[in-house]
Amino acid sequence: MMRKLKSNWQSIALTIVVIISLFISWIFWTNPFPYEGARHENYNSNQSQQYTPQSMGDVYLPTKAIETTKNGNQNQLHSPKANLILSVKKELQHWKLGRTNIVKQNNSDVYLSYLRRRNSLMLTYPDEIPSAVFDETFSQSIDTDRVNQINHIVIPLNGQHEIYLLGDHHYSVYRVRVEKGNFGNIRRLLTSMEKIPVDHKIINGVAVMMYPRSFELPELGYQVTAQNIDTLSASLMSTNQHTTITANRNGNETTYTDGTNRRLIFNRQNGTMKYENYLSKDDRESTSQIFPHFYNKLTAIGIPLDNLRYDEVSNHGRQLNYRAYVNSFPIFNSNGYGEVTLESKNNGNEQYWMSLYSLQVPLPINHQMVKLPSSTDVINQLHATNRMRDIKDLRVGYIWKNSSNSSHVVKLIPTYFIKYHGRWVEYTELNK
Amino acid sequence: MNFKRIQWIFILAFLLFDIFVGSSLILETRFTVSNGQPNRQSTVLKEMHNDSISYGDLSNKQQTGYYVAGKRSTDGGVLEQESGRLHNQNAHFSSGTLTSDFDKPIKLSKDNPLHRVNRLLKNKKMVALGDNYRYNRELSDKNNIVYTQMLEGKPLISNDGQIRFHVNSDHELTGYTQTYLQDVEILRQRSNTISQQRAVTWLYKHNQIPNNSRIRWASLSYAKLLNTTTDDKAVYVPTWVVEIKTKNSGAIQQLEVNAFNSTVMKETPDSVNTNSLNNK
Repeated sequence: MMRKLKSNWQSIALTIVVIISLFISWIFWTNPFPYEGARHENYNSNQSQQYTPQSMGDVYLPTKAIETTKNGNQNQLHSPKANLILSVKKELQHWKLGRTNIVKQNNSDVYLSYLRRRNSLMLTYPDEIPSAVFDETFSQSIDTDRVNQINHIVIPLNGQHEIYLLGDHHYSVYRVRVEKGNFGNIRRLLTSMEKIPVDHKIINGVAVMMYPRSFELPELGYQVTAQNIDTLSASLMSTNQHTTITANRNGNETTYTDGTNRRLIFNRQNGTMKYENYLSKDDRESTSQIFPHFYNKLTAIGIPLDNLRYDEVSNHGRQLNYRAYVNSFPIFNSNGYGEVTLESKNNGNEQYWMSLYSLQVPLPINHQMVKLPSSTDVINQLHATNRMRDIKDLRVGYIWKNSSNSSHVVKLIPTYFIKYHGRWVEYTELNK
Repeated sequence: MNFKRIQWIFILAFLLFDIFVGSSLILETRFTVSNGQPNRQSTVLKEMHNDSISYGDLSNKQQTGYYVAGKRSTDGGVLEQESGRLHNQNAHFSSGTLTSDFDKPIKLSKDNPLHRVNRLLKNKKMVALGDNYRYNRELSDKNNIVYTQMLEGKPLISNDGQIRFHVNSDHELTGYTQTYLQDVEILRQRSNTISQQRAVTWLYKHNQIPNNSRIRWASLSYAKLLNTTTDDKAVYVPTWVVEIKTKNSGAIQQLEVNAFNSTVMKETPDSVNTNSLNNK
């Protein structure tokens, strides 16, 4: 046998190299990806114009941090300097979360007790997020089949090795085991924060954060940055195919079309725009992918993501609203400046609403403190106008008033905003 | 015999084919496996290498920073007040700059000249507000030892917070000029900045780095973005300062990239009128 092998080793070696070459050729024929992949990369690197350091996890972050003391008193934590939520995010990314189980569902009293859990830090999202987004933000892999939507993350500070995830929908409370994590680091982050007393209530079936006492916040100054419409329209209308884009001017509106399925309507007077892309039903993004899909769209459009945060989800999870935030408080403008809304309709159409204007650079001003009333006072005033039934939510934020002279600076003033008939309205507007 | 030789040739030919095609396949697949951003970065770095642009280690770690406001200390400001305590030197203050000549030049040791300078900065009678400054190797040269004012742990690169010691040919300190940024205020919460690697590749992709050049250093500092009319305060932003030396001509240039939004910083900062924000 050995002798036979020895005498024929050349033929055997030849057979082996021929078989290997056949195998390699087969891989090449059946797998053309290497080349396509390379081409794809070049295409991408040419397209990116501006790079922002905001990852997907930075846009889909909780916006409020609430501490509950050992005595059960709650405070909203904020600071003009320390970014508590960013620091907690970085800390949680080093944690290892384990098994998840359901504590309770459909019981508003139990739910409220977790919202007010003593000796804890709670991070609250402005609206619900899918658990997959939580995993992405905090580099975790909790069971996304078991945990659906999340509104709050409760981190107990009494030495328990678990955290709670709360979903307002169905009042769901989930317990997640912490296999590795340093709660002391979180406790240390809270020391430098300023505090506003708050309380949680369930009003008309919605968990609302209330401000039981009057408090003060500073006025802020910002420079208004205007994007260039040519750059924005180019990034919105550009395709791989060579299509010609036509622009039609009609009064204050300019309509850009590519002749097939894209259209951009730009209002020159107030700088707002609406973009439509008629995709076929087969091309529409699945609902579970909407959050990453729209994040990718935001970066592709090239608008500054610096202050922009996810703010609301609607239309059965197919429309997302993003809003500018300053020092943990949302900014509202009646023209929709500083806001971006992206929608993917069931029939495949994608629609975006946005404006040229955003707030980028904070300015030094003689910060006047503004005294805000307690939310009880605000609600009592609303009761008097008989509008209480139509009110869904309440929050404290900054108003960005449109100035008549085309000024490049704006003063942001803190006030209450009420969700009235599905829109956020400054509360004094409703008292008129 | 003839058949054996032919067999040999075939074995060699197929073996060569297997090695070349197989290795290219392995390399190509590795290229496409991770389609993420770091990979795209490494492609750009490779392109830079092909254009004979040399660079040292570039960190890919995101950092954080603030928008900071401050005012250059002028007549009657903190720096002028503190300069009243100075001894053994002839100091005078004009247009926001303190200029001082030591009565006797101060000898520096050849091995560790900074040791002596650091001691000077700790002495309030020799240098005013010295605790606020740190040695800046990049800005220093044979004739000048430069210390920059630190804002939230990062050097202020603009001329509004610097001490520049003059060194003579005998390796002695003869005097210094000093500026100081006072009433420093944080304007917005801490947020992420782009990484060192990202700043350099961004400059390259926007044709700011000439071929056949060397990146000498890239450091994250605060640079002036805007002047305002609120008490003459200016706004400073985290900025990647990148120094490039052209290999042939030896020309040196500094490029500045805003580390919050990756745009090139203007040479002369804009001025913003904030009067309307300060009215009641």
